[in-house]
Parts: sequence; structure tokens; C-alpha cells
Amino acid sequence: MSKILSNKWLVLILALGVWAAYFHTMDWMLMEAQGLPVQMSLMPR
Amino acid sequence: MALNHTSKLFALFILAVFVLVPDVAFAAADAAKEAGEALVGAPKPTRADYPMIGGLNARTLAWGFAQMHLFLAAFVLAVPMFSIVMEYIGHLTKDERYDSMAHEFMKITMSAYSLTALFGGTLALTLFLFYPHLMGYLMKVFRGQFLIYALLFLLESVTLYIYYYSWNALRYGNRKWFHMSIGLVLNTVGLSLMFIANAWATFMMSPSGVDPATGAVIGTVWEATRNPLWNPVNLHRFIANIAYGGAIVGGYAAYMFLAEKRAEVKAHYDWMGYTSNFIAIAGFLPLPFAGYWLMAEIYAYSQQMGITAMGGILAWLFIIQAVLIGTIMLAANYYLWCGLMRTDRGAQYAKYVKYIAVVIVGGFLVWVTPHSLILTTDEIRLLGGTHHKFLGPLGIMPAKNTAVNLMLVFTFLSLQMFYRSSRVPTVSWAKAGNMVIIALYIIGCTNIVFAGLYGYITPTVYKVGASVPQVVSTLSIIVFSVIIDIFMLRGAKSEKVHWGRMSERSQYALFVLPVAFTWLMGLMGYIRSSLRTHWHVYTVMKDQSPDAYIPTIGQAGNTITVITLSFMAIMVFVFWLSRLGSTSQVKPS
Repeated sequence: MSKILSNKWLVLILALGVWAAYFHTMDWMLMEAQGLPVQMSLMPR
Repeated sequence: MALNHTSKLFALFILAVFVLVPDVAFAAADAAKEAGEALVGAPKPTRADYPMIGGLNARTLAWGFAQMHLFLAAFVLAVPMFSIVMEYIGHLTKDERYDSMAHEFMKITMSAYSLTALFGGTLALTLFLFYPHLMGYLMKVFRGQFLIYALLFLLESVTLYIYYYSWNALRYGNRKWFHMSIGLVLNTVGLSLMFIANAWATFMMSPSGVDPATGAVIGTVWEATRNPLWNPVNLHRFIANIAYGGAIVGGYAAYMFLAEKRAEVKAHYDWMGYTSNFIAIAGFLPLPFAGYWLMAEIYAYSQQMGITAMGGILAWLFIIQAVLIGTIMLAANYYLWCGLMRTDRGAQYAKYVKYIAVVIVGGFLVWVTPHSLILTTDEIRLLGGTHHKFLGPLGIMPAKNTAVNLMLVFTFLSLQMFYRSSRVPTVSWAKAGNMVIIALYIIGCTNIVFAGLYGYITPTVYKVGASVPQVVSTLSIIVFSVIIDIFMLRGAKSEKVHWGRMSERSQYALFVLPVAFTWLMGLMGYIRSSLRTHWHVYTVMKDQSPDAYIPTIGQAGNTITVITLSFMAIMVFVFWLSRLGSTSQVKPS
């Protein structure tokens, strides 16, 4: 664990992944709660 | 025996409840008593029923007095709110500087308080004189609540004077808790006053508790109070007041900074200016979201009203609003960037300022880009249509939402850079923590941009929906950054902050803030009130006075500007008065 923490670039990549997952989930939940399409194939054009 | 902290907080809570309960209870009792009355509709005055006094324009008079009263009231209500927080921080940290600053904030409030009452009284007289039918109807709807308002006003005066004048007598130990309790009562009463006044204003926009066809009072006072727009306006004004109060006392600090020659006094006012700017930004960051909720509720209540505001005659005023908010953001950021020079480490952050400036200025330009232009036939021909092919898309809401959210995120970044410039983290995971924050900014901003793009390719209902993840993204960046910083800066090595090491030019940014805020409040207050168009009480009581029309943008702009200038003149007088109060003549030898 401390090895991972000591490599700042590795932390950056991991953090990018974690935050991407967080924001994606948040978007999904908020859009779904409003009854809006959340998949690209369902998007109105 | 000393009480523990929980008991003290509980006691404060009980005190607050005691102040609030009678307010609601009396209003309900009033309604119950009068429930048996015969139903009489809203008055229908003719043009001849409106008193004419000389060549006086009733609407402009009422407009001016109402706005002046509101500016002063917003300031007078806001300052005790953050003064008590500062007093509490001073008590917790045992740092007397906070306590002294809170006391000084209250000193400015005291000078402005009597003027608030003066304008409030003048406004009431103007309304009763020129709009007797409307006022009679409002009194029938709100009944005893007017008396409760008067009672609360008396209580506000008493608690304000006690809070201010007992400051030094109740400064330490348990006495301090007693003093803060008085402050809490003062704030509770102040907020109750604001909530009641908001009920009257919002009832005129979205009446409830009355028969929609005739305007006859069929509900209780509470039903009229809790109309659809009451809580959105309550929240919006509550937050806006804090930002406004912060901006005004920031102007005072700048005035004192520029007027003083002694280095230690300049340092004090520099610190005061920084704190005030912090309060103004802290209040300002969530403000657009509260405004968004208010606008959404206006649309939900009446689509017509919403369209009048944002797609009709008042829409162009929102472009002026964008200019003013952009000015506030530029001034607040500029002040923070200048502040980096207060610490020796601050210079290392200066290289990032230009990138933040690009985002803030870019966002500002997107925000002020109008969608529909007023064009001549030749201009339309030259343009190739009514909308510019590149700039046209920047005029719609997804672009503006993206711009404003990015501006807020980068304003917070300026603030974060400043508070980090005086602290060196000592935790072993500091570098990793910084990377987590950088990743948060990258993904959060990307999400804001993508939600904006999603808004472009979808119909209107989706555009509105897509703005919600943008708001939550902005708040997430701010909240998570603060949480990580709290842990990372625990036990951090403090760098010396050279308070007073600020350019005089930076202080003018602190002057810009209250001026732009005042103008903005005047503008938005005018829009909110104009939404009723030719109604005194929307859809219930028609305005038949000679002034029942929406003025041109130029006329409205001029009136708002004159009111803003008048208020700023009063504020300069209040600042001068506060300075005069602390000046002593040297005894002649």
C-alpha cells in the first residue's frame, strides 16, 4: 500500500479511474431519477 | 457548575424554538378566529382610485424605497449571521482577533440599522399612501402577521443593541456563551423577519390560500405564507444576504486599508478584507444553484411567468446579469491572486493564475453571448441568418451552464491556492493526496463539459436535466477537495502570512464587489417584481394604476443605477461614520 502511495503517477491513474467511476455513477443516477435516457442508444436525436 | 458543550448547544436550540413557535402559532390562531367571515373578493380599483400627489411617480418612489430598504436590510441581517460564527471560532481557537473583528463588523451594522428602519417606514407609508387597496387586501390576507412582524422588529432592535453593547461585558468564559445566545436570538428573529417579508412578496407572485377566481381569502395565514415560491426565495435571499454582507464589509475593510497609514492597522484591515472576501465567495458559490431552483419553481408555478423572465421582455436583463456576475467573479479572483503575494510560498502558485484567468474570462464571454440578437434587415443578410453560425450555439443554456460551473470551480481553485500557500503539509501521503485532488479536478471538469455537450444534442427537457449533474459535479469538486485538504493539512507547517503586504490596487477589487452586488440585487429584484406584469397579486388583483406597464430596458437600467449610486453614497457615509467613531482628538497641550 505504501509503495503505491509513494508513486504519485500511479496514484494519479488510480484516482482518475475512481473519480471517473464516481462521476459516471452520479450522472447515471441523477439522469435516471429524472426519467432521462442514460444510454447512448436511447438518446433522442 | 459549568455546562458541557452539548448542553449549551441544546440550550441554544431550545431558545431558538421559543422564538420561532409563537410566530407560527399566532398566525394560525388568527386564521381560525376569522374563518367565519363572509367571503369577499380582492378589490378591483379603477385608475381613478389610485391617489395622485403632485407629479410624483408612485411606482418609482415605491421601487426606490423598497430597494434601498432591501439593500440595507440584507446587510443588517447578514452581518450578525457571520459575526456569531466568527465569535464562536474566536472562542474555540482562543484567538481574540476573530472576536475583535466580529465586534467591528457589528459596529458597521449599528450605523446602518437606523437607516434600515427609516427606509422601511418610508416604504410602508408610500405603499399605504399610493396603493391603499392593495395594502388593505394584503392586510386581510396576512392579518395578525403584520403585528407579529412589528413585534419581531422590536425584538430585533432590542437584541441587536444588547448583542452589540454587551460585547465587552460578556467576553470570556461562560459569559461568552450567554453573549452568543443573545446573538443566536438576534439571528433567529432577523431570519423570521425576512421570512415573513418574503411571504408577502412571494404571495404577490404566486398567491395561495385565496380563491383563484375572486381572490377571496379562503385559507389560513399559514397557507398564504407557504405559497409555492416562498421557500425558494427564502433560501436564495438567505445565501445572497451572506454574500452581500461579506462584500459590503469587504468594502469597509478596503476603505480603512486605504485610509490608514500605520502598518499594523493596515495589516488588520487586510486580514479583515481577506475574511470578508472569503465570506462573499463562500456565499456566492452556491448562489447560482439556489437561483436555478427559484427559476425552476417559477416555471413550475407558471410557464408564462418563466417565459416572461427568460425568453420574453426581461430576457435581455439576464445578459446584464451575466456581465455583473462575471464582474464579481473577476474581481474576487483578482483579489485572491493578489493575495498570493502575502506569503513567501505564494509566488510558486502565481504561474497557474494565467490559466485560471483564461477559464474565467472565457466562461464570462460565453455567458454574455446572447442567443437572439436585435438586428436590422441588412445585418441579418450579412450574418446569413438571425443567429451567428459560431456564436449562436453559445447563446443557449447548455453552453452557459457549462461556463458558469467551470467559472465556479476555478474560482474555488483560486481560493484553494491561497489557503494552501500559507501551509506546508507534513503528512507522508501529501504528494498522493495532491494527485487525488488533481484527478478530481480533471474528471469533474470533463464531466461538466460532457454534460453540457449532452445538453446540446437533446431536446429542452433533457437540457434542463443535464444541468443537474453539472451542479453536483461542481459541488463534488468543492466538497471532496475541502475534505481531502482538511486531512492533508492537519498538523501542517504554517508559513508566515504578511498581512498588509497587498497592493493598493487590489483593494479596488474589494470596492467592485459591493457595487456589482448592489447593482445585481437591484436588477434581479426588478425582474422578480416585474414578473407579475400588470398584476398587483398575480392573476388575482389587477394593477390599474397609470404605471401598470413594464418599463423599457433603458428606463429600468437608469432607475436601478440611480438607486445603486444612492445606496453606495449611504454606505460611504456609514463607513465614514464608523471611522469617525473610533477617532479621538489629541488633547491640546
